[in-house]
Amino acid sequence: MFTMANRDYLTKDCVSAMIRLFPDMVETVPNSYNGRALLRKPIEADRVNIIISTGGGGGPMSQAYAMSQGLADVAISGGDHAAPSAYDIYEAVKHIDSKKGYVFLYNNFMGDCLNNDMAEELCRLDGYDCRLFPIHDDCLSADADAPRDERTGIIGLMFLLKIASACSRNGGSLDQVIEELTYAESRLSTMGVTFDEKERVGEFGTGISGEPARIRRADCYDLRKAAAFAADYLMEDIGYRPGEKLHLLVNRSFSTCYEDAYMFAAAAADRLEKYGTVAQCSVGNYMFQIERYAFAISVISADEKLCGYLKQRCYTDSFLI
Amino acid sequence: MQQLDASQLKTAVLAACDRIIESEQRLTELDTIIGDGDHGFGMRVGFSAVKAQLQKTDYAMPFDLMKDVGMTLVKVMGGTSGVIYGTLFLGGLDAFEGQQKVDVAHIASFLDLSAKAIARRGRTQRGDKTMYDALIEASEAFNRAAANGDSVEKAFRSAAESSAKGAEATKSMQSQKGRSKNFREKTIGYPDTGAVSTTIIFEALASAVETIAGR
Repeated sequence: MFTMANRDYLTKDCVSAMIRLFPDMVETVPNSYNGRALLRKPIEADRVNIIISTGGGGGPMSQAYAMSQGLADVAISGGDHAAPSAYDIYEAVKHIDSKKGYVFLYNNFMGDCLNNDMAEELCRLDGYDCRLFPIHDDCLSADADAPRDERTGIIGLMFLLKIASACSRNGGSLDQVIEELTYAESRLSTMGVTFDEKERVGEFGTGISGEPARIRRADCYDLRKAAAFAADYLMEDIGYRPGEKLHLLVNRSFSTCYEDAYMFAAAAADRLEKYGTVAQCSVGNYMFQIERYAFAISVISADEKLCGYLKQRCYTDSFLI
Repeated sequence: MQQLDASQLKTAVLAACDRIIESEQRLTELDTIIGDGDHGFGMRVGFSAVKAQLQKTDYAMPFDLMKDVGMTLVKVMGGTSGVIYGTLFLGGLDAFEGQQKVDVAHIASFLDLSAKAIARRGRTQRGDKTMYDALIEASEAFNRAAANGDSVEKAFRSAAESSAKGAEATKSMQSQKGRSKNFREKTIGYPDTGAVSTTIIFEALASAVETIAGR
């Protein structure tokens, strides 16, 4: 990520800026390092709190976007390209002091797992019930025959944040939130899509940090064809069940224009109609993705209950989902 | 020299901080090839914070010194490195409990416990192409030094040399852990960046302890 700011003070300065801009919406955990743990105001300690504490992404405040009514209660950001620290997660839990428990939601990358794992241990020693929920939605991040827990996560976390938050707001217990998340994740699949301009091929499975694509196809060097191939692949991975409704989310990288993102998403939605009703589409720049022309496409096949959680609209300072 | 007190240990750790800070560019270049390029920056930020913390604090006990180092790394760095290098300094604390001075046996025990804690937390083992490949070599060298009754400076020198061999050996391995795992066979031919950092730390500690011992 390019920035004109001093990288050493980027987090601290960004936190100050956010609090200056959105004083009614965010506050920082007093003891967090450089204010890296941001809370959505007001604190609601009487229900399960959802903490998003995953990768540096590309900007030190790359998780702050996900805080709003209906998404995350707390967003813990890491340093530049680094997972959030166990210390900041622990401080956030102590500050909120919820007796209903916490869900730590994060993509299944090593740094995220290590820090959330350590934070959970620290919190448990203080009597807090915290559950780890690593996300494995990137269907091309592991071999096809590998178990799901070897996959990493990308943008499917946006769906899971909404589901976890809605369940918690409906009075769901910690066990219930985890149960809904576990089911929802099993109906979710995502992949990164890029294009190799030199060799004129569509690439599928490109990781958010540029990990090489697993599938390259010359016949997919085209927005519509690439979207259709991705949609088919995701549906094959999910295994559609009759009656479910499909929710589509397309993330565009900073280097990808809105025009192309809309066309790519529309082509994907057209293709998904082959399988079932597309209930909702979201297109935006929800999270950092590699600094090149890229998409992440995510589909969740939702039963009636999940649809109920997903139909709410969440506004952040940056987007509507 | 048979023992180190907290002040001498602090001098050695400060030397390691300086060496890591100076190595940011080298570590970044390595990590950019088979990782996401954050290792050098993260290590520089973490060890700069440790340096600042140590410079403003006097320690009577090695235990307190190492605990402060580990907690600072976890707090400031985040990421895989924050937990792993934090655990390097926190995982072996039991070996220093109540000791005003630590000898080779204490340090060997400290490293043994730290290596085990890192293997458990990181779910890693020898050959996964991680910093553990360098650390376990250093730990085993310290164990041999303790069995031989070596001096502290000799033990640290053996550990530094063994750690460097462990890091070198990672060149022929394919990454099994972390983001670099996704680069698959492209990781062969390059050393693991964490293993290189570990070697830098042990080399700096060895040089500092040799200076303290007057060699």
